[in-house]
Amino acid sequence: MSAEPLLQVRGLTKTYGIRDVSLDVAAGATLALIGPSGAGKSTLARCLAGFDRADSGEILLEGRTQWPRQEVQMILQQPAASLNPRFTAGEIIAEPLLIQRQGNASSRSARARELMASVGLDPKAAGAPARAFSGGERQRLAIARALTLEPKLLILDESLASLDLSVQAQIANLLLDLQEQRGLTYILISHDLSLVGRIASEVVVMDRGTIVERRPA
Amino acid sequence: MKLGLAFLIAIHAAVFLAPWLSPYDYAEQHRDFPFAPPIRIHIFDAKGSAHRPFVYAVTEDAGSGMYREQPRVIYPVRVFAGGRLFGVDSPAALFLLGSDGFGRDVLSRLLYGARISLLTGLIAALLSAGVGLMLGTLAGYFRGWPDQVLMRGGELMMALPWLYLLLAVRALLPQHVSTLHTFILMIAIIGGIGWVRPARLIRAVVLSARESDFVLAARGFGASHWYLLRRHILPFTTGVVVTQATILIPQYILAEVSLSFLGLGVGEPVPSWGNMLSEGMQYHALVSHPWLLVPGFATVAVLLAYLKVADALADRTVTH
Amino acid sequence: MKYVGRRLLHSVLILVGVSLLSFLFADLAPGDFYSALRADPRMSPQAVEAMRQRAGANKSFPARYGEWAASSLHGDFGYSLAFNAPVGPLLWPRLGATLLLTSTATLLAWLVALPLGVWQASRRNRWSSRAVQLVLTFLLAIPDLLLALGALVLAVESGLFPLGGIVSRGFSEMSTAAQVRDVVRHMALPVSVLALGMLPVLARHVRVAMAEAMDAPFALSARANGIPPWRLLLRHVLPAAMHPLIALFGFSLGTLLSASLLVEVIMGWPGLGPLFLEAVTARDFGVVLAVVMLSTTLLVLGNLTADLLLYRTDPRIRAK
Repeated sequence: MSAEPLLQVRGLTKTYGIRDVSLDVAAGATLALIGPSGAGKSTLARCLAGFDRADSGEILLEGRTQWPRQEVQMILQQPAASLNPRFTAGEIIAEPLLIQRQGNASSRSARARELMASVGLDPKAAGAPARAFSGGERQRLAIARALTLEPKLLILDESLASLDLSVQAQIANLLLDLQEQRGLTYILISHDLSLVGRIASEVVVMDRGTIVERRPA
Repeated sequence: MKLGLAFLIAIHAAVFLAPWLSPYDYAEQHRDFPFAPPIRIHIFDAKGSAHRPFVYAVTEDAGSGMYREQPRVIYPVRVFAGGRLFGVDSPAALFLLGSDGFGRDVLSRLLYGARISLLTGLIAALLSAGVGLMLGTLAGYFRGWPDQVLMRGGELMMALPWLYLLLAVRALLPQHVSTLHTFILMIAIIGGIGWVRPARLIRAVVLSARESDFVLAARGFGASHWYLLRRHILPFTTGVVVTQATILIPQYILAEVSLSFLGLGVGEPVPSWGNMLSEGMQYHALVSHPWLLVPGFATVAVLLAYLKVADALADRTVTH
Repeated sequence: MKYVGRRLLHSVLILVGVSLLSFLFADLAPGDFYSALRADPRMSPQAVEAMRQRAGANKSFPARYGEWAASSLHGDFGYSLAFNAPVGPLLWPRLGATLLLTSTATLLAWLVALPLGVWQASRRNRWSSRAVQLVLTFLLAIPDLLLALGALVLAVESGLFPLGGIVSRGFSEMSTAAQVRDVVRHMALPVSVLALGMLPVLARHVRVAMAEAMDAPFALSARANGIPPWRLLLRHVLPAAMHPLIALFGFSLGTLLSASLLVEVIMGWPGLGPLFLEAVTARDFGVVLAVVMLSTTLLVLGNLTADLLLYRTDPRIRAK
């Protein structure tokens, strides 16, 4: 395992969000971000994922201040909302490839089917519209989509919160498997301490925009 | 809904086939037959024997203006005669809905006139919907000053009473222009006034779609504005566009009929349901020649059909 | 109070915007009253040009707009070239006639729509309510234009109603009671036509508002508590339904000047409508602008009233 951390955050600040946040995340780790509402967890996540720009401070991914978007992906809480209900499963998963203009139609759909299988979905269902899938299945689709461009870091913002308990367990196991197979690094934002206990390797506690504690899980 | 749609399709087909379906040209005058009542079609003659459908010639009683049939000669209704579907030999006339003051066939003028009235409504509605789609999308997607301009401008336009605005705009433009120019002018004016509500509704749809997580996700993958609009956002506007268009078409048909009724639409001899009705406004005409009001009934029928379709569409979108 | 101030400012801005737009548009229009004069062979081009100069047609836009705006605020709308009289005195009696007509019609329409809508909402899905709904839909499809024409036929056929005008000859010699009766006789048909035109939309809004209020949680629990249906309807549901209806009433007020144009023209009611039409045909911008501004002012006032009433009755808006 490389000694250089995958992600380094230095003094990140954003008004009405986070204040002077610094942390390191090792490659292959699962860092859990916990804390009360408004602690700045989502703000931090959005800055890391590139959806927002911090006011000051810096973020380094593998030592670089700029990196291709696809290396960091985020999975949101509501599986229903993050997938266009009119798109088919195959279209959803292949969309990142389409946007990035990689491959052609047949290679994209082959890859989509491959990813569907790797998240435990039946590839034959690639032609079904997103609204035909259950909540847990949609979250699998979201994960598959996030994996399409082979990211290094996956940010899970309450991604399991709106699922049934049994489905949560399945998805948690899936995430662990994928991490092992693909060498992914996770940042998990969650209120669920038992989930954190199960899959996190270390825990960072935030409150009112700053980190107050950090410990192994 | 199906009934309304079927009716509309039938009407528009008839309008399309007007030069063929109508017994006469819209400008064809029969000076001997002003204000003739609808001609009756007979199967049995005076002696009781049956024939193919035929009519009798009519003559006008000079004193009362009443018409009387001359049962001595039979004029069969000819099919595929002279380039048109129906016709009779002169001196008989096939005025199925009577004739106007110049002896012009009302049915023929109704069919030709439908072109102006219905098409104006249709095209103007498409114009409004199209402009509304464009402006609403710009405002809802890019926010900022295009949004402000749209909202304020729209408020200004909605503050003006539409009929007054229509009349004023029409009057302020050159009065006597060719029929084609008038037609285009009417479409432009009528369509240019009603874009505000569609634009607002579309803006709302675009705004909410823009904020949705799946758009956010696509943006995360580096999607361009055009991609987002095309693949994710605009498909959600189709429902609104269709419903708005269905609501606007009858309103615009009515606008055309009103304008040409007031003499500000297409001019003689080109018929439009509006200017045909204005002839009926001389009230002696109304009472003694009620067939002149047929364009009015036709308008109501078309409006009803569109209303039914619009209602059905609205119900459909609500249940989704 | 801040809200009220903001809305007032907003309305004023809209009026200013509209006045600017209208004036600008009138300015851009090709030709004016004088160009019509130029076509008159009796006048030399120099004379026409001199008239134009004297009327100040060559001053700069801001100057002319400023003059017009300033004098309009004093009620002086300039001079009408087409009617050869100052615009103001031309307008006021017409304005009064229109307001008389439309306010009576609006009141009548509301007086019928309210109980009708309440009754319909209380009898959902029974065939009587559906039958009424059918009639109303049909009525909705019939344009004012045709209702007015139909009323004309009625007037002619029955001889019971005068054909146009607001008073009969010899009005000034009548007793007050006879005068009132005379005006009422003249008003009867136009008011009925207008009211019938407004009725379907109003009734539908009342019905929808009542239905929503009836399905609200507070109403359902009241019903479960055994409150008798009529008391529930009138004491609990109706007040809740009033809220959106108040806004609608404000909008009704706003259209008091613009709703009756066609009816006035067709039925010969001496209101703003026929005046506007004549001015429009004669390209007399002074009158056209004045009428447009008057109608717009009323419309904006109507919207403002609706907003303010909503504000007063809905504590949620106030809390914002």
